[in-house]
Amino acid sequence: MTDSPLQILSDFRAGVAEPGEETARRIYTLVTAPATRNRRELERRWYTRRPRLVLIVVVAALLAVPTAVAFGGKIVDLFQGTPAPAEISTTFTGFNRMFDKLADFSTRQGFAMTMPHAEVSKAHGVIEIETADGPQDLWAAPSDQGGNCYFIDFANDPPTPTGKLGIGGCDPSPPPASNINWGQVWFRPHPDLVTVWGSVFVDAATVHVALEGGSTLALPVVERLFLGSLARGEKVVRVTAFDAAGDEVAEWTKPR
Amino acid sequence: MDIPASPWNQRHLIGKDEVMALSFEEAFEAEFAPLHRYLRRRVGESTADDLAAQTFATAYAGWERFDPSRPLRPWLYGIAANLLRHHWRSERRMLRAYARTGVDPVVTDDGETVERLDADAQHRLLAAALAELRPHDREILLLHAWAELSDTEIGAALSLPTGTVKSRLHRTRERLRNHLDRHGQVAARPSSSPAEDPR
Repeated sequence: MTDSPLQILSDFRAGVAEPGEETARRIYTLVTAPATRNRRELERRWYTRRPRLVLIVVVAALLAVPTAVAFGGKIVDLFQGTPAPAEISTTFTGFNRMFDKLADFSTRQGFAMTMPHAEVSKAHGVIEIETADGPQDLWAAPSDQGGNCYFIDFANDPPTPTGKLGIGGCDPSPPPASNINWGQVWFRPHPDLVTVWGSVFVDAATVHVALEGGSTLALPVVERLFLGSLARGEKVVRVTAFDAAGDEVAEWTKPR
Repeated sequence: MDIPASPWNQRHLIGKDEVMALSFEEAFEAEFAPLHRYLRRRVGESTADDLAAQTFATAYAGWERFDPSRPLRPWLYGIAANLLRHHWRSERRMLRAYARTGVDPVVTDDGETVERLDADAQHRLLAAALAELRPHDREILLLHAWAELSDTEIGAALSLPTGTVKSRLHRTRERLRNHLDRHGQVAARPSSSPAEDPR
């Protein structure tokens, strides 16, 4: 034998393969899952093994509220009820497939998670807003666990073979204590914009998104969903929902 | 990988100039596969899935607070190293089992049909030697040889001074060499293999 120890070491188990696309996608989905019941189930499982890890995850989820000041996004009429085009239906179908894989994975890992499914045939447009980068759409399809599955994209972004680039998910079950579930995200092709969206789990007509600088963005609630567009900068500190009479019906406040 | 954007899929430089740095998605795309493979070499596929998920979950949770001016890889491998500590004993058991039987549990642990690596004498001896190393030394050695981190990066990952990493690495390599040498498995003079190139 003539190899050095490090050469032998480099060769040792060198045939072990990198993970496949499916593994990467599955783990990415698990890691970035919103704080829904499924996510909590995952954390609970980790908690039994790594008590400190869960604390980190939960705290960060609370802190991870970001940028904004805005231009809100003007609502475009005549969009609600528009049947989803093929590329949007494909995206919802992809969600369902992903959820199936996630459920299968969780079962194999010893904790069964109940995953929602979107009724793809009922996918339709809910809200279209005009942003600095063109129209942005929120599509929804009923979830078999109640509430909505939704998907948000920029209308002018080209579709990919697996659907449109966007953000999507399904309403958590049960709803959060605040009765408002919201999030914000930026899309790589639109780095100057932050999309804010969410669900209100009680009857509401509008939400007011209060920003750290003191301004407030008023957004209509359609089918219990809302969508807005913000510029990067300030932070969202409060989301308040009002019914048609103007009475406050739900509130989310940034944790201190 | 075509994946949807996500609510916390962003990272900021907090300072005078806010700059959109590497997104979590981009970091995941760049680092997931090599990290997973590194973990798989250490502890097998199923545990690697778990540890890689936990590593990136921790990174995702801390993304807003992570200083983008710091290198990403040492941070990720540091998280993974902390998680791996809980698997040191099973790692050693698997190394010993391989040394004893010639069947490597790491490549057969999931019942998966994988072409088994050559269970040659070198590797069985190496497995035995790795099993007998102190866990901290094994960590440094494998971060160097398998994750291909530099001494400085290993120091950053494990919160050790670079000098300490260098000396421990040198000592561990000598120990490994002596172990293999006793069984006539290594050449007398040092190799110039890529893994030994200074970085």
